[in-house]
Parts: sequence; structure tokens; C-alpha cells
Amino acid sequence: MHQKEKYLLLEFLFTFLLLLSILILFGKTVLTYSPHVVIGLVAGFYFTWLNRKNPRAFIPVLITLAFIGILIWLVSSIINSSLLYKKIVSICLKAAFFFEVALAFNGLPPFLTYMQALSVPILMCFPLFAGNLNPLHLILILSYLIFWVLILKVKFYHTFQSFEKPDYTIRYCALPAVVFFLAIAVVSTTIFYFLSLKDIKGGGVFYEKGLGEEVKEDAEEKEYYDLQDKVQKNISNFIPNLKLQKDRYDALRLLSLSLNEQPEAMEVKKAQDGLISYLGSPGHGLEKKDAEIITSQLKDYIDKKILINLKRIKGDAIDVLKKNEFNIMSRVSILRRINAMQFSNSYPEVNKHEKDLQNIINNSLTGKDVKRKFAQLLRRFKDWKVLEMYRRKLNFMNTQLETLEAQSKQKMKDLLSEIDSIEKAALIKDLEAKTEKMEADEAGEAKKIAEGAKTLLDLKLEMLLSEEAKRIKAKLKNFILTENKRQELEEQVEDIEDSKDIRETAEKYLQYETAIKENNLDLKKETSDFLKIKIKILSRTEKESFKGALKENILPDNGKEILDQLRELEAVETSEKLIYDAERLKENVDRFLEQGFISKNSQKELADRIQNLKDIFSFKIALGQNLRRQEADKSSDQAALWKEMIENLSLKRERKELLKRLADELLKTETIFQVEDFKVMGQREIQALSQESVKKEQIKKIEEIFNSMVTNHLVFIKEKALSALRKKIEELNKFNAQQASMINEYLRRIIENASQEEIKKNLDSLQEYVQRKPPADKERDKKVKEDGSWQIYILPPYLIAPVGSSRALKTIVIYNKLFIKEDVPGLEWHSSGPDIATVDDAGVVRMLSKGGALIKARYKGGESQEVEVIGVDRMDEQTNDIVKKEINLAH
Amino acid sequence: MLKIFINRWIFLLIIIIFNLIIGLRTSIKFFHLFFWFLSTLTLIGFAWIAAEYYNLRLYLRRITPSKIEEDDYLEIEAVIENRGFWPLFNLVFEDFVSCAETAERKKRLIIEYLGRKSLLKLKYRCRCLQRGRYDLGPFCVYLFDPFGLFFLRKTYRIFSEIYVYPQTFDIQNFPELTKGFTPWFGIETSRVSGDEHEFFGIREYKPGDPIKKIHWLSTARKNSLIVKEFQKQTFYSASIVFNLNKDMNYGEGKNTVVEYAVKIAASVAKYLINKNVSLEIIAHVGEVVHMPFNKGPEHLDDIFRFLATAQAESRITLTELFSEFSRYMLTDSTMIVIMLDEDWKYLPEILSLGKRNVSLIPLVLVSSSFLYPLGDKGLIKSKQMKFPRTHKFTAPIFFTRGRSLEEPFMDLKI
Repeated sequence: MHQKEKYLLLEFLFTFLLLLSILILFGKTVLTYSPHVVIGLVAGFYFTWLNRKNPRAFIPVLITLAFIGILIWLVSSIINSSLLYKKIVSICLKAAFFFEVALAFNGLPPFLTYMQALSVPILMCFPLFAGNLNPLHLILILSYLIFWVLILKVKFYHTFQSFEKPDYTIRYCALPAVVFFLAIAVVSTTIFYFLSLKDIKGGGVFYEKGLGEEVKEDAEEKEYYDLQDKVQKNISNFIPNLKLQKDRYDALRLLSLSLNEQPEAMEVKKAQDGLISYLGSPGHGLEKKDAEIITSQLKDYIDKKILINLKRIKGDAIDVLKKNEFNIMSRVSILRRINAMQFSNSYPEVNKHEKDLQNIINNSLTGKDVKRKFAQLLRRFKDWKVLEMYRRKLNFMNTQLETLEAQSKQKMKDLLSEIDSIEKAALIKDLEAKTEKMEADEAGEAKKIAEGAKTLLDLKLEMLLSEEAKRIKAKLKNFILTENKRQELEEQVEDIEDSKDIRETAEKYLQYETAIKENNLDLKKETSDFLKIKIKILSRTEKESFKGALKENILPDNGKEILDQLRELEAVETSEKLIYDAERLKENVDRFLEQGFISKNSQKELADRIQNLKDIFSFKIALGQNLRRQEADKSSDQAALWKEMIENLSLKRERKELLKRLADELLKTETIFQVEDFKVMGQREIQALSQESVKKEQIKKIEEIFNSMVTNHLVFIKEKALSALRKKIEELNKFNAQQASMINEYLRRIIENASQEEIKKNLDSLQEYVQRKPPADKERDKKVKEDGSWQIYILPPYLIAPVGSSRALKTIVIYNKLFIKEDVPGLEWHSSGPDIATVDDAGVVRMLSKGGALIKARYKGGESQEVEVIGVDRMDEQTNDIVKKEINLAH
Repeated sequence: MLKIFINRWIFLLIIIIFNLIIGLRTSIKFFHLFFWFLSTLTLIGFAWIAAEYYNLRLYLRRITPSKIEEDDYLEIEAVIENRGFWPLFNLVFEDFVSCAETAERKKRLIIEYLGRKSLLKLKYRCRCLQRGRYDLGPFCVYLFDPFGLFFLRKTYRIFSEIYVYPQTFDIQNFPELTKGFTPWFGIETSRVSGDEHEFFGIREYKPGDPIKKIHWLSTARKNSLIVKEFQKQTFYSASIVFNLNKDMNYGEGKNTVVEYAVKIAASVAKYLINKNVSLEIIAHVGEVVHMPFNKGPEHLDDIFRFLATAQAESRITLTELFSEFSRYMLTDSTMIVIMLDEDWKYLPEILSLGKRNVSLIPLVLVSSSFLYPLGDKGLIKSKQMKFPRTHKFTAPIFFTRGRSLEEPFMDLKI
């Protein structure tokens, strides 16, 4: 063999071993394709070896094609991947290995060198897929390096002609290489252990960009802390001047709040307002000028605090980003949006960015905890941002006020201070109306300020919302709950707070409401305030968008008609009317489209907005009703009151029990007719009381309570029925909108009309309409056929019977959730304790001995609930009663 | 050398920088370790070769012939001696052999081990393709680290001069030269044995000498056998005239008019000198070169040396050259003119020398064959050439490109 060929063969061998050591090093990561790579490399090298003397012309063409193929695969895989960089790297890794295989088929230099060079970046990917370096890794890396040394040696001999000399050369060339390698290994390991790269990170030639910024930040922070010291000193000096001890304590508390290192935005604002009001109040012994200086210092300090906090939270967010798996795209877009949010000055823009950020975070592949953490950071960030914008806006408007005439200036000043001091959800409505009125009435500068006041109100609402959320969370802490449960509830509140459209809000609210009910928590007031504000914010945003969409078109009278309708829509109090009004509004918009006043796009947009507004308002109404229903639930409180009163009466025990049970039974009723029965029964009992030496006043009071109990319960039933009906209509709306709207229309008429006759008439026509056979709908028929579910119910749900007796169980079978049939023959019965109770095919239970057993029925794949049967000894009537009562309580 | 290694260094640098960046940005130990390993490799590598470099005490010598003919292999022997205290590993020895082909000019040899105070003889050879005068050298020694990644170079300015003579060919027949009558000045000659043989001197008898040649008179005088020695004495003298005109240097590579002319001149000179003809060279190669009549191998060496370096730098015509030198021409001599067929027009003037009994042997290079090497179109204009009918004029010998130069002489019928 020619000397050059020998070198080539050696180089093939070492290159193969080089790549093999990497393949083994990567282990599991490349396990799926490593056999292919090994076979490919062997085949490639063999092929090259065969063609070494006269390389075929078509080989480069084929290899170029293979390269293009791999490139296309690479790009498409990356595009279709999750874009997590680990994923991207693993795809690139695979591509790199296949590049190696392709190159092996044309493995003569310089392509052989390219193969060897490509192995280095591949090796550098290794730490991404390995945890800690273990000895096997180190050995493989070492052997990789040794193969490199051998390749370098072969290349060296290949490049230069070797001078043939006595055979001791091998000894002499290997020895220094080994010494050299050992020297490098020892020195580099020593440096690695004693001089970490982090030590040189601090400066010198390895100057890092971040360092300069840190210094700058330090300066900023220093300024902030200086200011803080000043404020603290001045206000501490000022506090003893306050006359009342209470005021002094309060001021101290406020001061410590405002100086808090990890503050809540709203608390800081409150503390500032409080302190300023103390500073502004007369009689504290300070000169007016001094007080003003301290005030402005305080304001400056708070401004700075806001900026610093924004920056810190942003830093935290970036930390979270760095430490967790976000893909490159979302990383970039998150950072971009946080920056945009930090430097944005318009409320809608901030809102939009927030919404985008939430979407990005929710769609990312990170864990739930990270998402939650990020959402919290985002919320805090928004709080501060809103506060910042609010303060800026307020300051700006206060300066603007100076340009106004005295009269409107005062008016506006009042408005602004009213907005600033607003603390309760209830007041918002009035203030909103006032602002709108001013906007309509005033002109010129004042109008501009009134417009600004609207934005201010928006910001204020945001602040109130977060405050309310915090209030709920604070209250949650007072309840006895497991940590998980509390966290869950808090998360639900946060979800509602963060929700960006009404559907989401409603959905989250339902979850929250269920959780509250499950845990029996009393949060009605807080929840209602919270939701009112949320709805207000949502509706304001939607309204603004609606107006914005409207403004793009030229309408007669500036669209006054539509705006009026919108206002009306907002004021509607029943959902039927709401739906009706919304339809009318839509029709109006459509009419404008037909008349050519508005564009098709605007019409679409407006229709969407109307739909959203309708949803918001209907949610508002439903919420109101829900709250009312909760009021109705108070009937249970009244029942307790009733029981207490009865207990105080001097009556026989049995009689008392009976009367008490009356209240319980009343609350269990579900139809109006049952309630009527109980009403009659109760009134009779009450009248009977008068003959049983009960004082008249007491009777009157009892009657009063009973009546209110009945009325409340009636309202409750009505609301329940209505909501059930609405739910049905909503469902119906999904596949037959026309029918739904017709039924809705009837319902509206029934609710709105006061006269009995009208109601009856409408009710009749509604019934007639409902009972009318719907037009044949093939698809629906098909649907019915396909659903083949059987549900079986056994009545009564439990059974107590004396040993030796037998009782028949009643069954109801429902097919397709539609067809009900009673007492179907052919049920399969099963008893869990055949020695206690047996059951025959007809569903007759025979009690054999004392004890409990579970009875179950099956029918065509459906299975009933389990019915508990209890065998007891025959007993006297009194005991029987007690047992029954016990069981009643147990269930 | 730098070209071979620069890619490796760039690659290494990129890897080091990448490791540094990733190492600084992350706390992955692998990159730290890898960075330190590669940095140490670089640093120790350079330290290693720097230590070798500053302790290097090498003595080098080149043993080479001073002359060689074109297309022959030049055998060179370099002696390298380590007079330093330390042995040397992994060094590459480089000699610049300027007379070789471009690709083979740098002769590089790895010396894996050169013990302290030891000596090594390196032999290498190269083919010299182009006549000329060359300086071999300098020597370079590259000191490598044991992995063969980095190097330092040390140059030893040791040069050796070598002449690569033009290639010659054997001439079988040559036209008859004009016999000269010029005697050897100061030497009494007598015709003893034929016209051609001149008495040269006497010397002692050596076994095998013909008895016929014994000079009895001297034998008697010296009291020992003395024989007469004869030398083929010539009266012939010839001038080779050529003009290496730059503008008429047709052809390319080694197939140019000038190369052919030089080759022919060298071969003719060699032939004539071997025939003991007194030879003169008159040429113009940018400057006028006149080598007066002389005989013997030293003269031939001079001529060859001149021919090795002769370049086509002349701007004058053959006539101009001729007119300058014609008056110095010896009477009763032969003038061999190497010319292009395009120079034919100057022939009448040259023929005027016939009065002085100077015969002319024109060796004509057919220029068109150099211009159109692939076709015969207008290859030769010999038919258009008018040959003067004088006895002093020998028919021209034509040389064309691609044809062996020996052939035209073989074709001569004498």
C-alpha cells in the first residue's frame, strides 16, 4: 500500500472512532438513530475507500442532493417543533450526524476534515442533554480528545514527507506527545478547579455589558434611598406635631407602609394620600411652605418608588424567563411586550400588551407553577404601571386645570378629587354618569379634561379591582381552610381579575362560585363589589371599542340614535328585555349598513361588540339575580328564626317538633303549588296556635316570619325556574336561534306584563308554540338515534323495613335522556347482602335479617344508583319515629 | 506553511471563544473545562516551541553539484547538525529548491527526533526543468509542538549556486566547415602523418603503444623508449551567431523560438568543441555577447553558462548584429547562423562575407510552426526562399516545433 493510502486509511479509522465516541457519549439522546449513523459511516468510508483512486463524478452531485434534503428536513422540523431550544438543538444534532454520514460517502480530504471539524460543535451540544459529568462521560471525552491528537498526527505526517530514519522515531514521537497531553490535562484541570470563569467575569478583558448598567442602576437606587431617608426624616419630625394620639399612630403606620420595601401599589398610594392629607390639614405646627416641601418630596419619592418597583418586577420577570423553559419566540415576544408595557403611556395599549402576555404565557409549554408565578408578577407589574399612569394623568390634568375659567375649573377640580377619593364600587355608576354628562356639556379645554377624567376613571377602576381582589384574598385568610383550598380560591379570584373577556369571566366566576358554596364561605359582599368593578371595566372597554368603531363612520346625528340605544341597553334590568334590545340595536346597525352609512367591516365589528356587551350586561343581570337569590336564601335564616321562636313557645314537645319541621319541609319544596299547600297548612297551624294560649303579639310575629319565609322561598323558586328555563333557551339557541328568540320573546312578555290576563294569554301561546311539532330535522333525528344511553333510577333512595316484611321498589328508566318509562319489566336486580335482603325480578325486597344491604338494578348497559335497605326489628311507634328522624338527619 | 495551518488556528480560536462565551453565560462545567483545556493546549504548545526556538543551535550545510543539464535530476544532500544541549522533536526541515518545478520547490521533511550533538544527512532530489542560474536556499526549520498544531520558523540564509545548462542533443552529421589556414602562433608544426594529424609532443612509452610511433631519436637521446604523440590538429574555426529577439520569441512554455535556438546553439557548440573546432559566439540577448575563439572544455563551460542564462531581450535585427561584427570575422572560417525564416531577407548581406572565404551554415527555425503549432498552414516557406548559388552557401537546415531537433542533422547527406 502506498504511504499516502496508509495515512488515509488511518484517518478514516480515527475519524470513525472519533464519531463513535461522541455517539456513545450522547447515549440515549441519539439512541434511535445511532445504529443508522454507525452503519452509514462504515458504508460511507468503505465506499470512499473503493473509489479513492478515481472518484466518480456523480458522487458530489448525490451528496449535494443529500445535503439539500437534510437541510429541508432540518428547517421543516424546526418550524414544526415546539421551538424549545433543547428541541431545536436535538434536531440540529440529528441533522449534523446525518451530514456526517453524507460526507463519509465523499470522505477524501478536505471533506474528511469537515467531518472532523463538525464533530466539535456536536460534542459541545452534549452538556445540554447530560446532567452531571460522570466518569464514563469523562473517559469518552478523553478518548475523543486522544482521537483528535491521533488525527492531527496523521495529518501532520500526511502533509509533510517523513524522513525515513531508524525505528526509534516512534518511541521519540510518542513520548513527547504523551508528556504534552499530560501537561495540558494537569494544568487545565488545575486551572478549572482553582480559577472559575466567574472570577474573571468581573471585568478586565472580559468586560460584560451588564456591568455598566448595574452601576447605573445602583446610582438610581442610591438616589431613591437618599430620597427615602429624607422623607423618613422629615415626616418622622413632623409626626409628633399631630395633636391626637390616634392620628400620630395612624401617620406612623402610613409612613411605614409607604417605606415598605416590598409594597403593594395601592397601599403605597393610600399611604401617600393619607400622609398628604395629614400634612395638608391645619394645626400641625408646620409652616405651610415646609408642609408643601415635604409633600412634594413625598410625591417625588413615590414616583421614584413606582419606577424602581417597575424595574425590579421586570428584573424578576426576566429572571423567571431565564430560569425556565420558554421557547425563543415567546421569550423574545414576552420581553418585547414587557418593555412596551413599561414605557407605554396609554391605558388601552397596556391592556392590550397584558392580554398578549397572558396569551403567550398560557400557550407556552412551561409548568403550571411558572405560569402562575409569571401571572402574579404581571399582575404586580400592571398594578404599579396603572398607578404610575394614574398619577401622571392626574398631575397632568391638575396642571391643565389652571387654564380653565374659575367656574368650570372648580367643577372639574371637584370631579377629579371625587374620582381620586372613590373607594366603593357603588359610587362608580354615578361618577361615570357625571363624567359623561360633563363631557357632553362642556366644550374646549374643559371637554378635554372631562375626556381625560374618563381615562382616569378607567385607571381608578383597575386600581379598585386589584384592591377588591386583595380584599377577598385577605378575607380568605380569615377562614379556616386547607392551604391548597385557599390557594385554589385565590387563583380563581386572580383568574377572574385577569380575565379579558366576559365569557372567560363568567366561566371563572362559576368555578369560583361553586367553590365558595362548597366551602360555605361568606364572601357575598366582597364578591359582588369585585364583580361589579370587573363588569364595569369590561363594559367600559367594550363600549369604548364600540364607540371607536362607530366613529370610523359618518352617521346622521353622529350616531346619537345608536348611542342612546346603547345607553338604554346598559340600563336594562331583565335579560329578556336585554336580548330584545340587543336585537333591535343590531337591526339598527344593519339598517345603517343597508343605507350605506357604515361599512361592512364596521358592521361586523359593531355586531361583535353588541354581542359582547349583551353578554356583559346579561352577566350583570344574572349576577344581580343571583345575589337576590342569595338574599332569598336568607329564608333559611328565617327558618332558623322561626324554629327559635317556636322553641320559646310553651307547647308540647311533639307539637313543637311538628311546627319546626314545617319550616324545613317548606324549604324543601320545589313547586309553587307545594308552597301554596304549605302556606295554607302553616296558616292553619298558626291560627291553631291562637287557641293554645300563645300571646297575640308572638303569633303576629310568627305569622310575619312565616309569610316572609314563604315569599322569599317563592322568589327563590321563581328565580330557579327562570334560570333553568334561560339555560334551556341558551342551549336551544345553539341549534335553533329562531325558536329560542321566539320563546325568549314570549318569556319577556310574561315577565314584563303586570296583568294576569296578559300573562295567561302569553303563557298559553308559549305553550302552544312549544308543543307544536318542530319541523323535521334529519340531522337531529339522527342524533337521537345515535345516543343510546339508559339511565335507571330506583325509588325510594333508601328503605327501612322490619325483618320479615317485603317492600316493592319503584323504577324509572330514561332512554336517550328523553324518553321516560316507569316500572320497566326485565330489569336485573342485585343485592349486596342476600342474607339480609333479597330482591326478586319485580323489584320486591324481602327483609330476611337485621342489618344493611345495597340494592342495585341494571338495564341494557345502564346501572342505577345503589339503594340502601336496612332491616330492623319491629318496634313501637315512638322508637320508629326516632329512627326515622335519625335517618332523615343522616341524609 | 501558514496557509496549511491558518484554518486550524481559526477553527481552534472559534471553538475557544464559543466555549468562553457559553462558559461565562452558563455554569455548565463542561464548557469551562473544555475552554481551559484548549487554552492550555495553545499556551503550553507555544511555550514548548518557544523554549525550543530560543535554545536552537543548528548548523546546516548543502552539498550539491554546481551544474546540471535541463530535465535532469538534481541530487541534494543537506547536513543538519544539532549542536544544542537539548534533543529536538518534531521539526520540519524545509529547503527552497528554486530550480525545481513550482510545486516541488519547497522540499519539506519531518525530522521526528534529532538527538543532542548529533548529525543527520538528508538526501532529496528534484528535476530541473528550466535552464538558468539558480540559488538554492534558504533553509527553514519549523519547530512544532508534539501535536503538530503550532509552529515557529527559523530561517538559515544558506544558499548554493547552480547552473542548469540547456539540454543538448547528439549531432550525427554536420555540414562541412571551411578549412582555415591560420597556424598556431608560436608553435612549429610539421606534417608527419596526414593532414589532419598534428604532432603534439613526445612522452614515455606505455605498454600497448604501437611500435610504429616510437620516436627513435628521442629514445636514443633519453635512453628510454619514447613515443611520438599526435593530436588531431584543426585549422577549423566557426562562429555561432544568433539574436534572441524579444518580439520574435514565438511559442510558449519550453517550445519557444528562444529555447530552440539556445538548445541548438548548445548542441552545436558541444559538437564543435568536441571536434576541436575553435569556436566563437556572437549573440545579442539584450546586450551583445561576444565569446572569442577558443577551444577546450572550459570554453564549452563558459558557453553553456552563458546559454543557461540567455534570455530573449534583444530589440535589434540580425543585420544590425551582423553589421557590427562582420569586420571582426576571421577569413577562412564558418559562420553558423541560427535564425528565423523571417530573417531570410537579411541573408544577402551576410553572404557578402563569402568574399573573405567565410562559409555560411544557416540553421533556420520555422516561425510559423511556433505560431500555429497545431496545423501545417503556411508551415514552411522554404520554397519561397531563394537559395543563392554559391559554393560557400550550404543549404539551410530547417527546424520546426514539435519535431525532434536531431532529425534535421540526420537528414543531411554529406
